[in-house]
Amino acid sequence: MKVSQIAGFLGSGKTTALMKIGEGLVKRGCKIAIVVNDVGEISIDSKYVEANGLEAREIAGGCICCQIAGSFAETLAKLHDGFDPEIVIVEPSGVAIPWGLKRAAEYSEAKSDMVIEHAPVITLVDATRIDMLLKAVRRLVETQIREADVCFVNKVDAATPESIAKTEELIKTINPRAEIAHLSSVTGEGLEMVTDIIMNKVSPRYDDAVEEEMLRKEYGRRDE
Amino acid sequence: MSGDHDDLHLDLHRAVDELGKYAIVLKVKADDGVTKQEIIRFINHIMKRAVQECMENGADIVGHVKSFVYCDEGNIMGSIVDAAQESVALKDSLKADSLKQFEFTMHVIVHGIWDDVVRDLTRSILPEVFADYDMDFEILDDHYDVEKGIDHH
Repeated sequence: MKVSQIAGFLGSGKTTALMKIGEGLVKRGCKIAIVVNDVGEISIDSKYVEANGLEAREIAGGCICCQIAGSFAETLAKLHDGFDPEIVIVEPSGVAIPWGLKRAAEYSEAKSDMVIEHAPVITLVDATRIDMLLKAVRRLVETQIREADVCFVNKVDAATPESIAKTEELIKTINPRAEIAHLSSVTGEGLEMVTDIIMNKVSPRYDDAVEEEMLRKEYGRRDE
Repeated sequence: MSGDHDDLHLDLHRAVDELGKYAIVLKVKADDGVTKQEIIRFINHIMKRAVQECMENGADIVGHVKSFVYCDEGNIMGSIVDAAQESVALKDSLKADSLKQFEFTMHVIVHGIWDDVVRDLTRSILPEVFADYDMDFEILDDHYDVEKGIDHH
């Protein structure tokens, strides 16, 4: 079972994009499920996803990659045993660390007869609010960019060329290895690319040694 | 998990705790019925008032404010992600011209004020907004008490 995570700060357009991506995957014949973990006890997004006919599971009450990692693994195992989707798209809260989420997903292998494969970690960066976000929640935004395999500059239909260029520069600075592309759920730009990435590409499994090395390189300098 | 990772994770949770969060689920009744246009006007009104109250009382940015009208005839999801947003972004699949009863959920996340302030501000606007539409409400769920911060760390 393939797990695809679409990260991004609150308001970055995750849910709208996720619905379009979900529709695209279904049109290509994929059986999918969506797992939503919102900040707070309640998720409007999961209500919306379910109301629109997609298989949704809500995980509430904490961060998917730490204190409720067990619930997430249990949810994935139950989805596999009961619904058997080919792809599970996970919309984590703005705080989940992608590597932590990978590890939490792999816990589910102990609860069901399956092997977890990861799609590339996708982070959406809201180009219309980049200055505001950097001012207020820089650390969160940087972390989501840093741990992504692919960063999509989102809402390019509404953002100015200057904001788009600034967002791209930011991504290149924080995560030079990330692939960068544009996305708009309004015009459809980039949606096919996201669908292709989720279906056809993979991201490495959780590896403690790799994570340690990444943390040393990426985060070790923060207090200097 | 490494010490670095633990530190980072704790930092992130602290940052998230700077997000004030509150959600409430209401049963809404209008004995004479309320038109779909009025429901949309109500959604715009209540969500923009919630944002306004939070921004005037210490919040510096909107994380998101989302709402969900739900009934047998369909649903409407509303979202605001920017205090300067002129109107609520709506995804409307309600297939009724008027309703006498529906469920209304609102989820407010802003940066810069605490959960209890968001709760008080959100609840304070309910009576005045509902009075404008001649609708009654009953609280089905209040998602303040169950909120958790970084206490698990």
